[in-house]
Amino acid sequence: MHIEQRELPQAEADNPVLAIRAAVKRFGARTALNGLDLTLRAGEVFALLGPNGAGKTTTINLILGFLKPDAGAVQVCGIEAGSDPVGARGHVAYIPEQVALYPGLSGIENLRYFATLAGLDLSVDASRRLLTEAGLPEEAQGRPAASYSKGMRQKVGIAVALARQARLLLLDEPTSGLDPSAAADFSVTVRHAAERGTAVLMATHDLYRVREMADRVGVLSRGRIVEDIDPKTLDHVALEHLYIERLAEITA
Amino acid sequence: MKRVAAELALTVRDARVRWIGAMLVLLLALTGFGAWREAQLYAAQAAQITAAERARWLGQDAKNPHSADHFGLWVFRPSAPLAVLDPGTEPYTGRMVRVEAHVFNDAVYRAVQDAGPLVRTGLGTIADIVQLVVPLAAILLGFSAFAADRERGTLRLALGNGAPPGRLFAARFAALLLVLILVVGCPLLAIGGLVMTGQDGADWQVPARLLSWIAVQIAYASVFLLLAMLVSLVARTARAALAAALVAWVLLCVAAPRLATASVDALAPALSYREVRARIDAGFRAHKTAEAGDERAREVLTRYGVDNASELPVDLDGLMMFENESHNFAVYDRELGAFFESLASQERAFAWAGLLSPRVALQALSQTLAGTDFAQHAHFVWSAEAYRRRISERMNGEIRDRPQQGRGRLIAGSELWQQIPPFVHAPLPFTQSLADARVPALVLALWLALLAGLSLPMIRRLKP
Repeated sequence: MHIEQRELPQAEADNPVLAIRAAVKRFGARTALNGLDLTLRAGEVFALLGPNGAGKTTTINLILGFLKPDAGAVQVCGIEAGSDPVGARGHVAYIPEQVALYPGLSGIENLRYFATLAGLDLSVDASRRLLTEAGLPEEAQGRPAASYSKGMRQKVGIAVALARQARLLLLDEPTSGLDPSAAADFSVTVRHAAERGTAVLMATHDLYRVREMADRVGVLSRGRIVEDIDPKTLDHVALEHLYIERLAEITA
Repeated sequence: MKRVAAELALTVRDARVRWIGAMLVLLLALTGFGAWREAQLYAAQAAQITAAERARWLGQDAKNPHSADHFGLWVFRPSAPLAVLDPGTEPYTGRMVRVEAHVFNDAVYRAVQDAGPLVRTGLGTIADIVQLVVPLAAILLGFSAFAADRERGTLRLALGNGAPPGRLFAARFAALLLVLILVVGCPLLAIGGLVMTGQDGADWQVPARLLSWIAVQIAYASVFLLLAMLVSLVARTARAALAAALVAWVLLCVAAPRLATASVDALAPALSYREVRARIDAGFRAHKTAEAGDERAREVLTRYGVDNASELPVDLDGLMMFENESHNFAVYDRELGAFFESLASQERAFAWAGLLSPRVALQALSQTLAGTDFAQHAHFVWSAEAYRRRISERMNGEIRDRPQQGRGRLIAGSELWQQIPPFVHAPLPFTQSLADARVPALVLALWLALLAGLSLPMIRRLKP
């Protein structure tokens, strides 16, 4: 996969793309995030690991401005996501875990529709290229999305995110539903985007892909990051062992 | 514009939209065509009867002018061309009046039970459909605007990838409004065009009335579209959004108009017509006694400086009838004037009652712009009364000015009858209708502003 990315000026690249400072989010008596700190610079790929309920989705919702922190701050490219969610989302591309499409529209039509909503003018040819690069076979691109598998919908979601050429790419379980070949292609795409200056935050359980893609891995426990690791310093087995160990501590 | 085009493309592919559109177009076309045919028949019958009445008036035998005044004739109110779209008060207030000596007659109307089955079900006119069915269609189009996306998950993908909620809302609203304009505005325009080709509506300024009438119907539909989209902004599921919007429809379109009518009756009660008629009779009775007649006769002799009626330069009976009628006119003006003013006050209060329901505001606005409102009816009634008075004055004046001095009763013929011109009714001008439409237009605008104002914070807080 190869997507044209704009080169960032040095000054812009030095500033954090994502800055979460002491973020607290409570839902009634339950504290989902408890002083979360996270900084992500241009070109970095950060994998957020954690069991269900650890706060991964809450973190993503705070970044997208769908939730406001009870304390602390979440900034995307210097824009406060809580007070200016639309401004913050202007710099974000997002692939949810369950990509939902309009079933009556084809892959191309879905992609062009979402791109138009985001203010982009995507030609049919450009849409085809993006979908092909996201791994959706050409013969499927014109078919109604009602006939798509979860993996195929995921690929349309990837194409939507790639079309945005945003400074921050948010991925929620991005390889879930992808076949191994598409997942491998996706890893290459993410790495390529990062090389072009896109900061990537992904919430995942896929340790194999984490090691392949991520520059840093954060283990989220009880609403804060308890481990910030360079996955290249560990082999796959050691990383898995560490994660399971942490998971056991968290759930104990 | 690209967002609107994208939304429109998505909307028209929805089978639900095509069904709703087809149903509305069919309903409007059938009802409109039926109303147009009925209007054509009425216009032809009215023209035929008016000509026959004129011939009957001119062809009456030679007789005393006062007898001719009693001979009387029927005068017709030409139906407003846009009564095809909104008959307003016409079916209830009547369109023909018997013009005869002494009596200020009521307009005669067609009993509702004589009307077709659609009328009896309350959906007999285009206006009924616009007031009841179009809001329902707007709700069915708008309820899923965000709730279905939220339920499906597409809202998360759209918002998470930079779709600005404000522009998304505006584009969806514009696309759905365009659909409504297509399935409601265009058929209404076509029916209006049919009306313009089939009737002579020069006095009615039909094009201006038609365009403004359609504009307010679309504004009314927009109120319900906004309402449904507003509910959709916050509802967790499309089903919940539909249920809430339907409850709002029942409240605003069915319950609130009844509450508005009851409130207006309580706050601005109309005078009792029976009591008004009793006061008129009492006013006449005091003037009709033998003593009062003798007193007036003596006053006339004194006025002319003569001792008996045979010395008068005018016919005493004719003069007395002329002056008695002037008294009666004053009684009618006072009593029926107050009665019509009380009804007009109710109409004005009803326009403000539109604050309870946009349907009430639309009713007032629609009838006013169509030229079928109470003001037009009152104008017709008083025009017919003015015509009746001109006939009475001319007939009594003829008797008064041609004293017979013992030669018996004056007999007049067709020369006098021809001096009475046919009745021609000029409706209130469109500028007057526009002035009368200010309050309901303001109220409808307030509904739109209220819903738009409520939408803004919800759009800003839009979440998947």
